[in-house]
Amino acid sequence: MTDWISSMFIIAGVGFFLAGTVGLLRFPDVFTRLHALTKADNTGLGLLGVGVALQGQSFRLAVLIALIWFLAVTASSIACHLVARHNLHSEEGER
Amino acid sequence: MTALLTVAAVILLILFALGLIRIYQGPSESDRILAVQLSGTTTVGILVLLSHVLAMPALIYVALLFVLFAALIGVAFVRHPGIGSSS
Amino acid sequence: MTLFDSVLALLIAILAWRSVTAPDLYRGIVLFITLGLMLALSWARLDAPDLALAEAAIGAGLLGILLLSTWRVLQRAAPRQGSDEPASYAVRWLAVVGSTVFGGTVAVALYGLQVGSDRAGAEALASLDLAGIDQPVTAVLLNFRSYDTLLEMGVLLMALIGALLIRSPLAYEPWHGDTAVESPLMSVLAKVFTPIVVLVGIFLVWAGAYGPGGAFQGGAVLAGAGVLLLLCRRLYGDADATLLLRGLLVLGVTAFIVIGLLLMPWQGAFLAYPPGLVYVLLVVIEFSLAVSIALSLLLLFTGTHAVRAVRS
Repeated sequence: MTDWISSMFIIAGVGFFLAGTVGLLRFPDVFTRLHALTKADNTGLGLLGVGVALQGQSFRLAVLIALIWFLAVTASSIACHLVARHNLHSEEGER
Repeated sequence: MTALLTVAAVILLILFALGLIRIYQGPSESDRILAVQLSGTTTVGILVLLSHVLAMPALIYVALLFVLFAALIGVAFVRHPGIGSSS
Repeated sequence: MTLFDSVLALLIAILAWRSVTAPDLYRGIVLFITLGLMLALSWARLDAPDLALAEAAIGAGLLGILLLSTWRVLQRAAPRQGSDEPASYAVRWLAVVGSTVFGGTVAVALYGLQVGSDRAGAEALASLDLAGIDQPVTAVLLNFRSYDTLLEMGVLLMALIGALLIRSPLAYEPWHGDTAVESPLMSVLAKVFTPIVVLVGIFLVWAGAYGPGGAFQGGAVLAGAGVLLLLCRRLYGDADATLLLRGLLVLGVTAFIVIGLLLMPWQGAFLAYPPGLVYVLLVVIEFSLAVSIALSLLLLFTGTHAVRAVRS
């Protein structure tokens, strides 16, 4: 039973990663690509982490994966904000 | 189960390779650093999967390190240092 | 799993080739960072988690940040007078011949390598209970080959001195176009991430005694915490080094040598650990090494003689 649930989580996680990569490749602008990157990829990582944590069956592993996901989300949000600001200001500077 | 995890790791590796296309194409510098951030998150995903497939718990710590340094690389891209005065 | 290995090997080859032949410096740096990511994966596949940790911290992390900062400085500096023409035909043919010969030699050497015939590794694994430490990598680094690690610390100090003599320091002072300075998220980054990075670094040094980790990996992560504070303008590089700072830089080498010398009248040889005290001594040595490595890497990053906290 646990195998089925974690399989679904892992497949969903890989699906979100695929969506994020396709978004990075196909979106027209830096800002839209930022959006695809920070939302889709981190959701995919979270789902993937849940799947692996269910497989691992150790509380320590689950806590570590939760920590990694929390840090990934924080890091992505901060980096997204900074890169977007940087791009916005450099675009204004060019005009 | 291990087969599914291995297949997932291979798919993530191929997605990593696809992300490199953005490094090749992306017109601005921010696009290329975005591709690096994507590569970092994808590598973290691969490491989390591999830590179970290869039964190496240390890979979770490698994933933790990558997450921390990915934040730093994003910040380092934005900051503009100058040359300080040498003593 | 062989599919994974083949894709990984192909990616590493392509990334290495493109990062050297990239059209401009920035693309080369970005590809180099992604190459570091793939190299860490390859160390993981080769059953070397210690090396994967070191590659993640130093190769992909610290080196990537240093290269990006240097590229930013070069962007603002005056353009050099060097020429941008491609190399002449003679040089290019020399490069082709040289690379082919080198690659062929490496391939021949790898082909003749017999797996499983290394006696030193087998002997080290067999004598692990003599070392007093369960983790084989730390046992080799700090017990069987302690001279090597001691001399490596000396080499690190010499590299730092050499680098400080040659290079100009990096200064993260704000300038008029710096958009990141006014952002409130920088202080969030500093406050949330720094404790976690420091904790992970100390944990990695401690975990070296019974799992992958050790002084180098933990020290590199602690240097990363220092770089984070530097980027968020909580630290700045300064020219005057206090005695405390210089003392911390040489702490690793000093602790190693002092412990070794103190053991001489007791055990009869330099760095011969007494069987009951091995674990305690190695923990003391590892933490001293980690402090020195972290500070040396941080000063290698800033190019100054000291770092100081920003008093606002």
